Amino acid sequence: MDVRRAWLRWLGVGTGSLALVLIALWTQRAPIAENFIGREMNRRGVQASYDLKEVGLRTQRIENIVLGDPANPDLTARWVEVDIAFTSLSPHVAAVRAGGVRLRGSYRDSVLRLGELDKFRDPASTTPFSVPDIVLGLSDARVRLDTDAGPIGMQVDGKGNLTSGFRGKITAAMPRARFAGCGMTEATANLNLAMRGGRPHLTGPARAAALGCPDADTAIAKPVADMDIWFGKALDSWAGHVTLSGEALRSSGLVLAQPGGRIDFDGSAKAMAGRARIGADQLSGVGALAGRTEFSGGWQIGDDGARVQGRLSARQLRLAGRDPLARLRQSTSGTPVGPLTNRLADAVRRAGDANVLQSTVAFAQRGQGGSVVLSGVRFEARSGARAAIPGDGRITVAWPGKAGAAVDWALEGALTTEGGGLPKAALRLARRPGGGFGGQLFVDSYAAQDARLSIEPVRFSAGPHGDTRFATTLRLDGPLPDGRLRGLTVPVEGQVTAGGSVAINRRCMPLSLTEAKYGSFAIGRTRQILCPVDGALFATGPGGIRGGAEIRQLALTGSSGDNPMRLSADRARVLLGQGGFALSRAQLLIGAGESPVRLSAEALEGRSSAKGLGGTLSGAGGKIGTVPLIVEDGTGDWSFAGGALKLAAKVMVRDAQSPGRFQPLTVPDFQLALKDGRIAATGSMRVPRNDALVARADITHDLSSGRGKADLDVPGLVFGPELQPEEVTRLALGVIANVKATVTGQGHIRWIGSDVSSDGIFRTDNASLAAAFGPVEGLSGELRFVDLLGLVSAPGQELRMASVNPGVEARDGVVRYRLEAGQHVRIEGGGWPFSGGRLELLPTTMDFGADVDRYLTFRVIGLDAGAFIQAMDFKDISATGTFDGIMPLIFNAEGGRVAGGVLVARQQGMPPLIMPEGVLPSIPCDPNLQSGTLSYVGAVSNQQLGVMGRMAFDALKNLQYKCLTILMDGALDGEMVTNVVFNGVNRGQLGSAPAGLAGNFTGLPFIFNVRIAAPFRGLLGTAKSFIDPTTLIQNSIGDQMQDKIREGIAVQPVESDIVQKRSGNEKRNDLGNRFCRAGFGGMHPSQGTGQADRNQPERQGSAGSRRPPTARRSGPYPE
Amino acid sequence: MTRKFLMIVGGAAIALATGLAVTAPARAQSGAVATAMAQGSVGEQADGYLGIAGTVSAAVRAEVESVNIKRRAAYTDLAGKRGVTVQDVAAATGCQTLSGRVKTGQVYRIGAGPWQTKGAAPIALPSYCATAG
Repeated sequence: MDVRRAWLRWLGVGTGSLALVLIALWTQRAPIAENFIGREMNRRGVQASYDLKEVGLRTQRIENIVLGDPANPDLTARWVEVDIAFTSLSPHVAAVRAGGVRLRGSYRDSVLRLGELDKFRDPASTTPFSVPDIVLGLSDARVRLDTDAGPIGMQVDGKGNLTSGFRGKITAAMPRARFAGCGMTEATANLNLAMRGGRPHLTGPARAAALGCPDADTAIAKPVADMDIWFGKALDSWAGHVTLSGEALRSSGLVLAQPGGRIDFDGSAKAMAGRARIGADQLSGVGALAGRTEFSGGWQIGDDGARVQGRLSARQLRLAGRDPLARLRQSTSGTPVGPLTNRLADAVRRAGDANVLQSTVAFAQRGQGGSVVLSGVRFEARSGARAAIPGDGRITVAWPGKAGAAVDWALEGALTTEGGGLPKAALRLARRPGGGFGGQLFVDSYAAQDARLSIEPVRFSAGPHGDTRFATTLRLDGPLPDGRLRGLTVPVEGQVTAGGSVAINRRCMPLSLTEAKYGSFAIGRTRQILCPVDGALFATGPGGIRGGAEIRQLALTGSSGDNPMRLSADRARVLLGQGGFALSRAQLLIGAGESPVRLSAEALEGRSSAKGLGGTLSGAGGKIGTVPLIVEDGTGDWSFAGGALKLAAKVMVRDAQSPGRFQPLTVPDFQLALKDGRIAATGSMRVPRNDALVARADITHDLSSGRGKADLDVPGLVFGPELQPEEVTRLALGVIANVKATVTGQGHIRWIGSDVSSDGIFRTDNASLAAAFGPVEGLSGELRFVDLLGLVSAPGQELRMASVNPGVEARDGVVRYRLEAGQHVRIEGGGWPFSGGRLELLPTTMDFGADVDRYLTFRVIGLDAGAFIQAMDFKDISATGTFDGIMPLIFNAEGGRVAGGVLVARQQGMPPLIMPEGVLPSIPCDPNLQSGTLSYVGAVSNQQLGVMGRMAFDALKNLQYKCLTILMDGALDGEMVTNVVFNGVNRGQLGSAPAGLAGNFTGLPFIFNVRIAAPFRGLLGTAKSFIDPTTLIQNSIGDQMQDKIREGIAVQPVESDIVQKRSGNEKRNDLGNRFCRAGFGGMHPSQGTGQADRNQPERQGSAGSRRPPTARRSGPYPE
Repeated sequence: MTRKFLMIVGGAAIALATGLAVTAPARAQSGAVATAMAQGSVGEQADGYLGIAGTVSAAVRAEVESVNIKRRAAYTDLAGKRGVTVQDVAAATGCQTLSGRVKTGQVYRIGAGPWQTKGAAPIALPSYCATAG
């Protein structure tokens, strides 16, 4: 409208300035007759020059007219002719003809300035404008005006009487215009001006390439205004019509294609009225599209504002997009409301085809306030969808709104929808005096397939501050994947403020459910408290949509198949705008009894999709019935689709028992599926530190029968520098270390209810390790568990050891054993070849569950005595014979020691002496039988021996012994105290014996009691050097070592002591008795090493039949 | 045990102590055992092993035993190479440990004697250590 008026103004300026010139001439018509031109110009001080060419009575002609500064003239004309006519002798201008007029001026701040021509104007004149009664002829008159909007150029040609009969053409051009926040390019006008009865009649088009008003967010391409306007005589009124068109109009998000229309008007600057018919072929914006849209009606603009009223019609009205509610359809897919939103979305989509919206519109604007009233609203689609405000109902939108709101709105009467798949509803609202509304919304149950939403009549009531409150109750039945939801009921309370903000359920509401079935899961009747999050369940306002729902202390009971189920969570919440839901500290228990299947998550997020539910979880854990594995710290994905609950997570697995039989392991690929009452879980259990694979687990569990199994496969667990057993099981810590081994095997756990059984076979080959009793090499064996969880094995397990070194290396041993409950190891037997004979391990039980001494007893059978005596490195001793005996060992954290070892030389022809365990037997000594020989021919270290001592050493030079007993005590890895007691007869001369006593005798019976303190291992090392001299050569300690060995095994005969002690009650020839006797008086723990405690067999036996080793101190020989 | 022998083993013990310092004992003094040692409930013994001086948890006890097993394995290995007893290697190493690696405030034990707390002064070593050192 503004644009059009501006055009008119410019046209007025163009024609007006020409008119002024004419007026100036006309008002001075008398002086002209007397060559008034020059006079008048002089009088008004007009700077002018011209050539007076013809001064006739009738016609005066001047040429080359220049007004103003000649260098920059305000007006020039090639020629002007003025015809003078006389009426009653007074001359007046009858006609003015001008050629080549060039006029310059400006129009700024509503003031027209034409330079020197302004001097012809009387600024004080208030005479109304009227057209002079002269004949005007203009050819090639051009005007240039500089305006605030930009320069404008016009060309005017025409002739005729200005009051009537004048016909002219005005061509105007304005290349670039800027005004009132708008811009226009290439504006042109081609107008015909005709004067009739003093009234101008303007016709013709004005057009532009583009017109845009960025401030108003409006632009139109190729606007054309085709005018047909009659002006009043004083140019202060106008009537006619303007036909408007353009290629496209965009305004505030709306786009109109081919906008156009015709506006008829009649009026003045004070008041105008008329009719309008405007429309567009297409209209789009704010998420909707329309086809042919048209308004026709009347309008008035006056001092009291503007009013428009008419009829609005739109066809093919539809929401944007092929499927406008696709998002709603998608987001509710798979939920119980899915069929309903599907139906609604279909209805909305179909209603968008072949429809028409009609309404009566009344617009009024007065000052800053205004309103739009829609009445008689009717929408109809071919689909049958109908919406209407029937009767006298109307929607009113008024601005500005109350209390700062942009608009106020009101619905009076009813808004109804029905048909075409839309819910049948009627909304009745009436404005209440306070500003709010009262009324009701009736919605028929909306159903689709097996879903149904019932909405109790919504009651609206006006609040105290212009707000409206409403309340209803929703009840939903609908399908769930492989199941359904019945009777979900929730009360709804809402509030709509005067500003249009909506808030629903700002306080907690009880939510109830009759039943929900989801696959094999079912939840029975329940009632929960549904509370708003962020202030409301749902709220719109200046900040957009917000809100959410949460249930605290969620507790649902139901069933999974035939099994009871309980789902609980500290908090379940749904947040609007984020989609999906979240549970915190959720726990699902399935199954009866004390050991249900438990699945839990610290945090669980999920959303619904067409496939079902799914999402992520963290802090996940679980336990399957009685399976003694606890899953925890899980992070991963979950899904609940097709009746199956699935987890795929990285979890930790630990032993349900505490302390655990194994250390917590990571399972990066844990998978669990729960479907139809069956659980299947798999995963590979790895060491957290280095991801070493320990075992693959495959677990199944049947909920209804409580039956299940777990298969554990250990494909190759490698121990070495990278991984030690204590990282897998703390049971190994402090028991074994430095393990190099590869363990393979399988374990199986089966259960029915709480009845759990397990077994497994594990094996290793050529392993090495260090234990409290020393290093072990070449360890091989297979271990068959009959109770894997209890760590109980079948009897008769066998371990082969290439080497074990508790201070004394024993090679090629075999141990048969059985693992028993409570970390007890039952040694069933075993043996090592040793010094030509055998060490046989006697049955015993060792307790690895407690920090106690562990007893092992070896029976010695067929030890080669010669080799053994020689092993003591008596360089000058040689011996023959075979030993049997027993070697009780005590192992603890400090290593192993011999406590009461006994070796007895086997007499000729006798069977091996099987020494009983725990009781020192009477050792048979048949004086008629020989055992072996012993010969000592070296120097005697102590010359202070005395007579008896020297005699003893003499006897030792060549002794045939009948009985020989070695008693041993001490640490295997350190000093061994050995007592050798033997009897025999000398076979050589006793040179040192007092003459006459025994000097000439051979065959004298002797009893010897020799104490040797020696490092046992040193002894054996020396023994080895006899066999393999290279060892000596390789010995880096060399000669010093030899010194050490000599010193360590220095012979200290104590026989005199013994003889003295025993002489009081025994006679020498007692040696000929059936039994040998020996004393222990010379046998002492070693002194000065600080190891006394390690050598003292202080421990009392702990296991079963074990007798305290100290009992040996009563003496081996019966009295 | 004789001084002469310890003198011989001393050289080996120095090397062993150095070796152990970066192997088993280095591991020993991490975690629970190090804490227990700082608290005085676990200490070094002259026999070359760790001992329990006070009340400790089963876990610490197991750790101590694990350390001792590893030490014993190392001692056994060296003893085998030297042709001497494990006990001698262990005791010689114990001398080194007591003279150099027991920190002030930690506890130690010589022989069957009582547990003592190391003060500012050097530990009075058993006489056999003199020749070993």
